[in-house]
Amino acid sequence: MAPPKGGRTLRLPFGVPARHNGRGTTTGRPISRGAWLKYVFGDCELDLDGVVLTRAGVVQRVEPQVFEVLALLIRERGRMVPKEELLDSVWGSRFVGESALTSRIKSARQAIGDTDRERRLIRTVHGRGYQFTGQVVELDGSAGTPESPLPWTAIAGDGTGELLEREPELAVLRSLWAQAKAGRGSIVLVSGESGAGKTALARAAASAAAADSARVLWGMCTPLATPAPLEPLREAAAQLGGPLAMQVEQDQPVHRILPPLLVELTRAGSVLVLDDLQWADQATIDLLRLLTRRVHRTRTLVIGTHRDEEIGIDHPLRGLIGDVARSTAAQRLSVGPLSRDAVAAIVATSGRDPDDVFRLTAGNAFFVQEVAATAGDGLPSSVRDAVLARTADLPPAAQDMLALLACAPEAVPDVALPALNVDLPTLRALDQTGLVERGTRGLRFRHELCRLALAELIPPGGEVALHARVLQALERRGTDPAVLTHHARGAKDPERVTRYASAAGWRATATGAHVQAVEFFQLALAQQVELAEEEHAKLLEAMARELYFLDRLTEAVAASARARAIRVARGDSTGVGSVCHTLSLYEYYNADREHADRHAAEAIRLLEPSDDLVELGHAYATEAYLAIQRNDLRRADVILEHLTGVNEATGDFALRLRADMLHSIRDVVAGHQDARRRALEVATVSLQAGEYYPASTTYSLLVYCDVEQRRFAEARELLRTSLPLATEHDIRICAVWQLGAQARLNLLTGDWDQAVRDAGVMLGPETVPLGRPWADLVCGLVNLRRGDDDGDMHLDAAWELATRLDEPLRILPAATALVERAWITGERDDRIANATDLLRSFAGEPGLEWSLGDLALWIRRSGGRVPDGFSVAEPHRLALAGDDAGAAQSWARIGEPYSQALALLDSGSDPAAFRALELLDTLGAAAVAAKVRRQLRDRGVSSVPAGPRATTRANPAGLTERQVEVLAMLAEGMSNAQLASRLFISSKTVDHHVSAILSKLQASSRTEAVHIARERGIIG
Amino acid sequence: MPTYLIEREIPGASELTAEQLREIARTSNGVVDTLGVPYTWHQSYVAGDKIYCVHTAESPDDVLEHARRGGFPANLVGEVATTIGPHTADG
Repeated sequence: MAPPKGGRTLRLPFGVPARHNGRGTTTGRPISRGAWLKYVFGDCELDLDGVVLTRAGVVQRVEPQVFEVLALLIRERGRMVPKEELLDSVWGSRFVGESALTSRIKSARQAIGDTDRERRLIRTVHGRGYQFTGQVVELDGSAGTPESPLPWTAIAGDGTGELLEREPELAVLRSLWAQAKAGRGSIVLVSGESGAGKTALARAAASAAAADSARVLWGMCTPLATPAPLEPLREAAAQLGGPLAMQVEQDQPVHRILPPLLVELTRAGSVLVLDDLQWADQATIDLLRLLTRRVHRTRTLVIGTHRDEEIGIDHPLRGLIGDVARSTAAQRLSVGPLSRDAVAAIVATSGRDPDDVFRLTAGNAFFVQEVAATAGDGLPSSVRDAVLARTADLPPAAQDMLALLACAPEAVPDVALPALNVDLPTLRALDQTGLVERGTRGLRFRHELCRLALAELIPPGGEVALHARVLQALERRGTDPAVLTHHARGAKDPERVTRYASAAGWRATATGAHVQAVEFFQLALAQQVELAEEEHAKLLEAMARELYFLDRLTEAVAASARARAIRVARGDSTGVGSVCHTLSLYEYYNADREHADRHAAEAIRLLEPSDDLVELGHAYATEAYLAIQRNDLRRADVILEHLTGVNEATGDFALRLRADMLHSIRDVVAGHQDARRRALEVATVSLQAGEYYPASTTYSLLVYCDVEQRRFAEARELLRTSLPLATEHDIRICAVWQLGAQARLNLLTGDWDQAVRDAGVMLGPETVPLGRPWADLVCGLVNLRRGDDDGDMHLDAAWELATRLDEPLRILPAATALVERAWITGERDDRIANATDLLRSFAGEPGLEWSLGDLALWIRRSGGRVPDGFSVAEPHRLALAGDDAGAAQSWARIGEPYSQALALLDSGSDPAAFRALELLDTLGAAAVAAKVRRQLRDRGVSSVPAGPRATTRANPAGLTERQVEVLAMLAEGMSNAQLASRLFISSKTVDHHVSAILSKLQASSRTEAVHIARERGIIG
Repeated sequence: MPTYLIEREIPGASELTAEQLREIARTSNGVVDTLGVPYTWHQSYVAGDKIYCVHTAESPDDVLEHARRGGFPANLVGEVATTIGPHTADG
């Protein structure tokens, strides 16, 4: 840790940071050097020189006139620009009608995401003109590094202290800064135990970089029970001002904050330090994960520090650590204990015995320094004693302030000091101890270990009064509600906990810190403080949405149902209707189709008489969606017609997107020629408007149909872009859905290892139940065909869920799998006794040709009779007409090797059966191949080719490709958790692989397995 | 005790309402009362985007501490060496 500050006075640099001036703007001063080249507003950048408009980093294609209109409005943003003036300056003397202008304005709004409903950026002054009302920051593209708006020494001490034994780490950081400066940024995570000197290392690196032109930005996380969303970034952004600070200040979601952050980190070579990430909120971690993927294009070195000991296996930081392990632009540094020699150097002047100190402190840098600074003969026995020794002679007022600070891990702002009666002499006395420091946030302990030591001195129950005093001093000072919640809890003040925790929860929802939002809302609700009914219902609805984002669907349904009950009791039928259509979706995602149907219907019934057409539209959309999922296109058409009517009346953008999506998907299901292109168009429009959710939903539904209707190439192409989109924006239901489609795609096209890998991701404990059926089917079928264990478990689960969902595209494949299972194992299965009835009941429904056909073929293969007169796809039609060879060719063209093999078998000739065996062996379908060989031998065929066992042939121990991969990683010394994150599989699956490896190699430990594998040349 | 002239950049300072100025003065007085060191605020002049204040204090650090606790900017703190006026000519 950094040594106590050199200067003893509380020196404050000139230029106290400009404070928020209360008008919703920050005083980020433009860096003026002649003509302006770029306007930055929201997540957009208008580059006047390059004539380029980008939004969220993506170039927007706009007509030249649209660009000019936009540039003019922004330049003249102080006033309303009359229509005549716009027409005149953009079109000159040419005569143009006003409609030309309105259409350009419309395009401009669309390009910058100023959607019809909000119009936050371009205001229409009716009949007269337009005014740009957004916040704009002007950037001079040629400007060099701007001076740091705030000297960082004010935050992080003087940073000149000697840093012992960190030369190798410092050298790494220095060279990374040199690369960042040259345009190749990176991220480093520095870890170590509390007091090891992580922050000191970061300070030294930042200080060295600052001497080499770097701008240093610093943000700290604090150990509140529930942290404030984006806390460290808020602090760093406040040092910058400009569009970034604006976005953060407005609680914009992470994906809106990222673009201006990237602009900042690229514009000026910087070192961004985010300290104590073990306490970071979800939004901060999400932002860092997004940044990890893009940091190489910036001119910034990002240093994140975190403690080792607080990062458990399910700590949210794990995801980031995994990303860092995979990224080439990121790495980790570990700060270990000091050696005896370093300890000796530190205590050299204190007269202490280095060996004693080394034994006592185990080389913990903070502890060593505290010991060195402690006067007196005896050694302090702990960090706590060392810290407390410094406070012994303080006057009561200073002691009192230390107690207050001990309750305030987030720092006490300067403006709160008068209310706490802390005078300057007290402050100076505190400064003498070297235990506190002062930064942009105010006064706080220099180290969390100091705070914990002082907190122990507070008598039991004494903290209540302390928290109450801090709370009173902080209220009405624009303090973050998360901080106020912390003190209100400490003060045992349920009224205030409710008030501030709700406010903090709302704030967390805006930034996308879902975990924290739920915690705050739950805290607010747990206080038993009576809330106004409307507020209570709104809070529950918001909490349900956040829970849904976290895949905690059962809780989401419960919260939503409570909101519904409150609205029912109030007789607020429109409100009940609104809750119901959302509740319906949560229930559906939770695989509770019955309640989903009921609540969708209730929503329509209650909203039809109301005048809230937008809500009614969404209720129709939900109902139509459920109908399409059941391939009930007749019902879908009726509802979609209602939806079209409502849609025309409202002109609501979000509703229009949803309606367009449903129309196009309905047509894709029905097999219309042009529908796929239309669906993709809807997604593109959504993306351009920055509406990721509807775009991702459209992709999910489309790719599901693509796989079902065997458009494999298109499906693959789509998944390549759609899956990263869903992951990046954390739209989990879509990510899971698409992963399901991908697993099935890989199953059908014969890449079973990959299929099982995809499915494995979805079978974790907290995934959307709706994503499970395909995951279970894929795992079940692959295991069944390979003859591995626990295939049945998966097939049972898939069948149970499919019958619960009661949708043909789930029941038919599940039933088909069970028929196949009975065929392979020869076991009777009562669940499929009526499989033929399924064929009859769905015959003639649109969009079921492939699933019906698959079931029909398996029924025939099992000796059952297939009824006539229903429509199936080409290969099934050929097979059912007796042309099995033609069917096999058709499957080969489509690219389904397993179906092809079965069609070859169906044809009955020996050569075809031999070809089928080849295919089955390549696929690794050992159980199926064994059955076929048995049948052939039973028929008296003498020349049945022996089973080559593809996997066994690959290496002597019979390890699969995947197991060899795992072995290689074991050889690198990776833990199961690291393996899991590297391979994108669950730790359970890793366990499975490892035990398979051990048993196949007959090894008793991982080390032995690695040893044996090396000896046999399986791994290098 | 030295006298200091403090320049504070406050965009739109001259447009502050009487109510806002009263609030600022109250805050400033409150801070002075809790500093616990000899400190006097004499007078301030609002001009354009700036406010110029005259304080007496023991050190410039105290002036900065006052600004910090009041949440005011203090862009320049200069010790007043002497004053002159029309009467200076009378020498």
